[in-house]
Amino acid sequence: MNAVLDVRNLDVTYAGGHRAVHDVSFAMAPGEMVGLVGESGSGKSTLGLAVMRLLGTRARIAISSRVSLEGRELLDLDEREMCAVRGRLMSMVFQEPAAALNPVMRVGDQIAEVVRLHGERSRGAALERAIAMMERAGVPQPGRRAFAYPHELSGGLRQRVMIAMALVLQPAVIIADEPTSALDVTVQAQILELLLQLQRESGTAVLLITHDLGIVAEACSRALVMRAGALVEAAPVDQLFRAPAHPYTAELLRAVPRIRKSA
Amino acid sequence: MSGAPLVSVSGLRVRYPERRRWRGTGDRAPAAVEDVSFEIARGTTLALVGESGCGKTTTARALLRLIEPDSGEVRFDGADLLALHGEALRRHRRRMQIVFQDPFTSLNPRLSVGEAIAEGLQAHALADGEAARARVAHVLTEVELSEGDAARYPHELSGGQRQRVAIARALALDPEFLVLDEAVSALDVTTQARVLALFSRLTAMRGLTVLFIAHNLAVVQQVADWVAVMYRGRIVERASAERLFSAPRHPYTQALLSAVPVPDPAVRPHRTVLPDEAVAGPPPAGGCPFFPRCPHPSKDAACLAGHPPLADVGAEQHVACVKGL
Amino acid sequence: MRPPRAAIVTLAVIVLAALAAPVITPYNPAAQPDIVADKNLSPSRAHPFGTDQYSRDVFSRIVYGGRTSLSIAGLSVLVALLIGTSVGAVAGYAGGRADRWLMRGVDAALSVPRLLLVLVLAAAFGQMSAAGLVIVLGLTGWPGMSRIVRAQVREVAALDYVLAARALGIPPLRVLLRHVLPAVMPQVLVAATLGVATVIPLEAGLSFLGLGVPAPVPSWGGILLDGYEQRLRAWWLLVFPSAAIVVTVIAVNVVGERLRESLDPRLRPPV
Repeated sequence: MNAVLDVRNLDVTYAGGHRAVHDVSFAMAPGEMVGLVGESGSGKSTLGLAVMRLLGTRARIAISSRVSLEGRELLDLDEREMCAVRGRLMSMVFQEPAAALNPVMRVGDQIAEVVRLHGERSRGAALERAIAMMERAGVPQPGRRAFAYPHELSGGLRQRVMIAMALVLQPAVIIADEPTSALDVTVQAQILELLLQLQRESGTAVLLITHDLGIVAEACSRALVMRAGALVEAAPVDQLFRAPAHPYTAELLRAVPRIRKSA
Repeated sequence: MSGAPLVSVSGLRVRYPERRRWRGTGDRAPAAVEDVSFEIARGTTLALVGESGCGKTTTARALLRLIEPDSGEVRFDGADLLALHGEALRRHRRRMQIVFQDPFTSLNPRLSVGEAIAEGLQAHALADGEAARARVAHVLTEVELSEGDAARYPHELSGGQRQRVAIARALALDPEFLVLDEAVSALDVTTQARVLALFSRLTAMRGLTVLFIAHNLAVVQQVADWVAVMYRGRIVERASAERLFSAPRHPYTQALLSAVPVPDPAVRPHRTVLPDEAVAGPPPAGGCPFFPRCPHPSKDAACLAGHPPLADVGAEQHVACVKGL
Repeated sequence: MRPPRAAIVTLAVIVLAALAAPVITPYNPAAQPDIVADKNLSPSRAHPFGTDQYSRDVFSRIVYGGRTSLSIAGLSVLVALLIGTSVGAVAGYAGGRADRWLMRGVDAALSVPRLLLVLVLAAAFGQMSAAGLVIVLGLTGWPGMSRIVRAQVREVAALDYVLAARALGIPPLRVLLRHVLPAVMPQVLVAATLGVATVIPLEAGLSFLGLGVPAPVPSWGGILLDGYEQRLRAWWLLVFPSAAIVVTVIAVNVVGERLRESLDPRLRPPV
């Protein structure tokens, strides 16, 4: 496979000594939606942050680890070079939009900021692109809503704004860390639909980090299962659900509550 | 064993919870609870279901008088709960307990497990000293923890273990009525499954009457005998669990059921997508609160004519919808 | 983390010196062995901080002065703490009308600058004993403390485990004492520590104006007053008490800040 994201032997240890990610390797093909499943403490969020190099001095990535994006080794880059990558080639969507958006900045400006940081000189043009992306992300009346502050929007709209921010420069890879967990289930469905649609349109590969197997079944083509920092299973979604190879995966599947449509 | 219901709520109304205790998410007004009525028969479990801001937690807290309702009636074992004050109310609390959602904040970090569980016993003069210790040990084993855990502190325990301690704390008083306020929502799926199994066992063993608050319908189906669906402070549908899951009548219930993700890639669920609340606009004054988002509003102005009352549509099912679909 | 450790050590030294005053001072602070010969001597080996215009050893006076200043500061903060905590806890926990009325009183008290209030009270009562000073300083300090306590109590009272205690049927006073106050006290103690740093200069200022501790009892402010009067002849009478005040206040501030830092993350529930 001509991998767009290739992670090899990723090993992350926190400053206190806790080894959060044990020697994890996986690759993502362009345009693929891959689910990263795990419970709390599995290291899935740490993995996402490590790939984005957002952990800073809190954690150490082992020398032997490799993370290459479109062939380029990310762990060799310094912070300045990494900033050029973030937003442009690879971006992230977080769980809590209220926490990830700047509360004192209008949402249109926040998206425009991403555009301007990566080369667009004109403020007007950047804002236009931001509004266009908001429209694609399903924000109604984007021209008006661009001037709203995050707290003036509902949870669902805020998440759309975050997705717009992540996709505006059409990155090759998006890491979505529990993008729907903080949302109501009716809104969740909409956001998943949106992610799928945008992903198909722009050919972005998405690493969907979640604890919800239902989301994985619905949206992902491949799934990775993590437990206590290690990758215990990686398989196409059909296969994973039909015939899980690892006992932990089987345990997860058994534990998921399902609605029985009785007669 | 039937007869009068253990818990009976009628016309409960809570305008706005005390503002200082409100930590809002910014997109919804504080949950008002409007004209909520239901009964819970002894030994049964009623699930109160809805999305965030619908008022289910507010209802439960008002029922227990942890916040004060503005009007309505709450009867516990026949007694008018809203008329009780001070010492009498405090003594009633022994019979109705609650387990909260967040295992990390519902236990006092300064108290050991044993101290936390024994506190209720002491406050109600149920047991003291050695007798209290024995009671604590007994209830710890009931929730599948060990006696030795009594000496441990919350920060030494996992989320699942803490939640078990919270349950033990509630059960130590031998309550008849237990409110589980999203008690498994913050747990990992494997832990959730285990704790739910624990609930089922304990409920059966002790003959508990339970009010189960949740937003995950799949979880609800596992534990509930009866289900009431709330939307914007009102109950929009109420039915036996079996009836609700097989033949939901309110469009919101239907949308809610269709929105639950199915952990099976072979199934492509038929989704009813509701427009975003902020986009659909506020509900019309004096009309059905669900109207702006309803996928099948009635053609004439029936939906705007007034709040649809919770009407009996047979088979012990009540729906608040003019179309009574 | 060097500055905090230095501050803790410094503060410890100062406190210990004040406690061990009789042991470590070479002279009795009131002693005037040779009124004529020993007057206004500059610092020397016999008198490391020199002597004042009454031929008293300045070093001994400063150590004893530390005793006075620290004990007055400590006790007055204690008074403010006791009253402030009671008022703040009741207002914060009970809420409603009790809260509104109590806080109106507090706001009224806080509308007058503390320094002004202290000066007016001190001047009105004339020369006060140390006990009087403690009361004046304590009474002007409790409103600020009650605000802090109230804010903390409100925050803690909204936590799930306090609600859980109420749900268990624990009587309200017990909930307040067993669940709310223990969670509140750490931050309140930090505020108290920083309060000490505020009171020391206040008391010194009063003594400097002659409104504080009566003359023969040594206090840093009092020595400063002598220093001012003798400023052209004995610089050591200005420098050493000033240094003592400055060093002590900085040390207390740093220790207080360090306390606050170490308490903060522990109060948050783990993620």
